[in-house]
Amino acid sequence: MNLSTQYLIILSVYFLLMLCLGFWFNRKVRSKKDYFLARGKLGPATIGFSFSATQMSGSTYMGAVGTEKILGYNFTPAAVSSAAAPWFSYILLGRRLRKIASRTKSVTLVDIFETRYYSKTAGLTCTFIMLVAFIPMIAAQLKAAGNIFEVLLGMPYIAGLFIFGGIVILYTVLGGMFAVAWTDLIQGLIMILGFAILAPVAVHAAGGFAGMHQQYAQLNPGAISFLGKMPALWVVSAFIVWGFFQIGGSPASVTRFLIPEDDRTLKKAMVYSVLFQSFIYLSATLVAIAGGVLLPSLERPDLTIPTMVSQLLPPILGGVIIAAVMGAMMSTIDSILLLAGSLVVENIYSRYMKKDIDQKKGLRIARTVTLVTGILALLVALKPPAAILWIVTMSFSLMASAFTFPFLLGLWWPRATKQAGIVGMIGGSVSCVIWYILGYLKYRTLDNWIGGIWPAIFGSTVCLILFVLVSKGTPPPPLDVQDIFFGDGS
Amino acid sequence: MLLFLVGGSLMLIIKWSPGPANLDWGVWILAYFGYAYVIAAAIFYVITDK
Repeated sequence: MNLSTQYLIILSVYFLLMLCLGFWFNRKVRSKKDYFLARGKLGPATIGFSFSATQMSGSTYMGAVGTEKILGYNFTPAAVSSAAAPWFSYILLGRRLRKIASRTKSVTLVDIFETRYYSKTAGLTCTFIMLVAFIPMIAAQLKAAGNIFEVLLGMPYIAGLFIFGGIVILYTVLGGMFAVAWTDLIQGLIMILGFAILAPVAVHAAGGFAGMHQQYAQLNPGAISFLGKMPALWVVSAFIVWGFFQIGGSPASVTRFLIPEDDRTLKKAMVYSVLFQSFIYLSATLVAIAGGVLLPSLERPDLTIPTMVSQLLPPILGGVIIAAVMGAMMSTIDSILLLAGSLVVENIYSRYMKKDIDQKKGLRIARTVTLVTGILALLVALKPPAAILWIVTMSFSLMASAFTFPFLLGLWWPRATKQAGIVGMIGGSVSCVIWYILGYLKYRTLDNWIGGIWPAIFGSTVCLILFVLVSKGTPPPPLDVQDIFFGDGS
Repeated sequence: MLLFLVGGSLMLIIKWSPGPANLDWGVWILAYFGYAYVIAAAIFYVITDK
């Protein structure tokens, strides 16, 4: 039996398990609220793993490892910061979002946004920016999966794309948040198992910890420390963006804060998230440096992990790691699909087209929207741009620029007004796009920017300045809004 | 959080002396012990609410 067939058997078992979960949870979903949120029905481990598995996408395993292999420790601060992202998000957003969601019976983040900024325009702007950013993000994961099918399993890219995409769309459509959160938990455990196997094997094959770094320094001298390959501002920006700005850049993860019914569950979930992400990013760094030593001339850095797996591990263990990589992609896609579905149903259809839909019809529409979003992303993934990490980074930067400060200040600053929310979101996202364009005009690439300043930093700074100025220059929010968000017990 | 963000950013632009295993001390402190700091801070928050 050849290597591809053995991988295919392991992956088939894994995919079958995911589908079974989808069918199993299909029976538990009674209403669209169950479908989108499963409020109060998930424990801390499920919420914590789901938060993190959503945040760590295929870009972590494919793009980030490939980039870190080339940039070495110039990129590692971003990895450490990514592990800290749940710590920022849970403390700065989680607790308040949970309380307010419970008080206002909100189903989506946009519901909370609309209430806080007492404006349908604010809600629509938020929905629009998220939907624009989601499609390329899903398409990037699908592309990564298609590449793995192509390289490791010897299947045509298109076939891999449709098999993988079909499975993840089907279980999400069937099982909603129940299926998404439980598959995320299983996928998270497989990710831990995968890196627990690969990292020590890779470091050993590269000459042991000290020997690996000695060789890496000879092959790639600028990458053995924080500075050397990239400008200082690029490295500092990456450190800040990948951690703090996940607050606004990852709304699909942040939606998990609406699930728990008490603070204790939320706090325990944070510890699961931080431990999980720390383990993954630390292992990813070791694997990337080992990759730099073992595969110095690999043409497509995104394929560092699949190539190492096929060279270093027996098929059964390699299959587990490939399943872990696929799991990372699946967990991001399913959460984004679900969030996109909830935005269209709750914040567009129910609000503007048909206000009184019964639970059964709402559930049917939710599933249809999830399906259509998935198919759209599949179509985009047929001919996607080249590097996975930078597609995801662009979507992330757009959302981070638009939402970080409107989310944060909306929850902590009573003086934040609706005009500031709208102007901040639009100003932040437009500035981010302009920064990408200026960077492209100067360097002819989407991954280098003027002065090394990341677009999310530039866009968020513009957003923050506009937000504060407009808030100060407009009448304060109505008292009932202030009471919901900042009254007793908030 | 501020300590992590500001301290971490400053660490990135300092010239560090060589440390064990062919890495400099800056890499050891931020890129390896940084994870321990984040985990400890998260657990500290759960226990003390601070």
